[in-house]
Amino acid sequence: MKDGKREGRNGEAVLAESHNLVHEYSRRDEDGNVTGIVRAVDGVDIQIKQGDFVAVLGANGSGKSTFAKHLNALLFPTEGTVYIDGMNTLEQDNILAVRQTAGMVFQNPDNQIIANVVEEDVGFGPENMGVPTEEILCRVEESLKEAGVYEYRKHSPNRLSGGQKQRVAIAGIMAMRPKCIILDEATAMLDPSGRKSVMQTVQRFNRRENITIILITHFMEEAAKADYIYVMKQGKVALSGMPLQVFGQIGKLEECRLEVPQVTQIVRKLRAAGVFVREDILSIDELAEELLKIRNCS
Amino acid sequence: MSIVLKNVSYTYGKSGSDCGQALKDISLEIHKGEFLAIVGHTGSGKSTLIQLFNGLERATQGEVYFQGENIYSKGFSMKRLRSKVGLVFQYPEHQLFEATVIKDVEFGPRNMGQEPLQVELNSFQALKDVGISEELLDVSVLALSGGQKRRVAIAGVLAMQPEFLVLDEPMAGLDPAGRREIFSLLKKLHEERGITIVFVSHSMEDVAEYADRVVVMNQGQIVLDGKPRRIFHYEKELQQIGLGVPQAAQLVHRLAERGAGIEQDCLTADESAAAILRWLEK
Repeated sequence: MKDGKREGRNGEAVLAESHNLVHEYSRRDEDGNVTGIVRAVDGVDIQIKQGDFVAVLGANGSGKSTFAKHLNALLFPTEGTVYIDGMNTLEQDNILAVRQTAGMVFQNPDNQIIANVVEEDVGFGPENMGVPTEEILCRVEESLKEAGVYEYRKHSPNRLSGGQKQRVAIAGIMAMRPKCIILDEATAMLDPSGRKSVMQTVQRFNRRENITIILITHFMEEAAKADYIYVMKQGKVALSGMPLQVFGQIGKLEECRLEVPQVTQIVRKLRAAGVFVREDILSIDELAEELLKIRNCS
Repeated sequence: MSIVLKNVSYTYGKSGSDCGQALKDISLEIHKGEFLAIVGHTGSGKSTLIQLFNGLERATQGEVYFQGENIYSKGFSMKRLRSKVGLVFQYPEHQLFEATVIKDVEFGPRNMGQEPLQVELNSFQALKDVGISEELLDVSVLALSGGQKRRVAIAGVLAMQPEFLVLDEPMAGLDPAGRREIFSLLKKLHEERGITIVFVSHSMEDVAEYADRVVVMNQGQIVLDGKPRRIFHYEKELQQIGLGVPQAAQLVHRLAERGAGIEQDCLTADESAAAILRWLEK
């Protein structure tokens, strides 16, 4: 069934990989005749290692969500191939295993919760997979605790806040013991504290359990927390690198309809004014620390 | 010329466990010409509040006045109120339903009873105002990008010629350039057309940059109301209710906590950088 484990350049296990991935969809008129073809993803090559925290940035319509849906076998390549944990998503026999390996959290918290009680929702995935009941109960408890929503286990999901619902969705995925969680703009509809709680949850899963995180987002401060960033523009990867490398290229980011976080803007303005602040600063606390050091030295 | 809420409460549900109070004794005046932001975490009552402004929801206690008239009094025209106070919902592009762009925009003003010629003129002007070019008028709304769809939805409300434009998270889900486009549109409507803007937002950076007044909601009550510069002083208090302040303000607050004698009322990256430079030169 599997095509075997694939290895990256330095021999680490590769979790997600695409080769020249192309996705086309056709536009149709009211009678169903094809009026045009749109290339939403246009030759994307990426390689994401097991345990990486990767952010995918890009404007509305840049193809990032279409790309994400390939990693979960919700869409299939028009051209090229996608491997998830060594499994080719084009092979029918792999689809279930692919979806269990890479779980997806969607944008709207109200569209993905199905059960009437939180713990039943979290148990739905493993139950469908045929996991024995004892084991399900164990997994549900553990996932809910780790996602920080255990206290709501008996609640009705529609009484939860957006951030809590998204964490229940994440717990539901974790209960299926995946290797990877894909968040497709999962924080877009949340308030600041909801966004923070979701980010902290995925960061915790990433660090403690080595779960690969693929975060599709518009928020630069979230992307700043990733190990690696891909920026998409018109279906192609326009820019990629570690956050500092990517945020260093303001001109290119603006061409992609993006911007840099405020902290990076401030660092650049200070440097331009002749203050020797370290360039590799991405958090407010770090910048405050650095500035106090500079002030004490002078 | 204002919207006034006087001791307004809103309770949903009848009784028992389904009953909840979304708004508690709120008094608020929105003046003509303001650019007002309403912030608060999910469930703080923001969305209920803005639906009171045009009578879409009815307060269970208290009064709402529009231009001095009690909107709950007998004979008050809700229809007129709704054309004067335009409400743009969250993700308004999900509500586009007509076959073409222009037809969708014309739906509102026609429903309001405007003359056919007026409907056409106002719709055309509204689309021009939001920056939708003429060649898109007869295109299907499905063929537009996310940002374009949102602007068409706003045009649909503008075509009713409101004096107050109330928007529930107008930037949600848009990329940074798209957010800026929507804001420059709101700014233009505010400056050139004199339309009062009220917007709900979760982005403190956007609030700091654009609003001239901020109303902070928590648990159905207004807890802070004032200019952004004053409101964002209260970083701890805002954090306690699930909100924050812009990174630019956070930075100067962190420095001040560590004993730096630095100006603290910074809202933008430019202001923070300037304040830091002045402090370093001291």
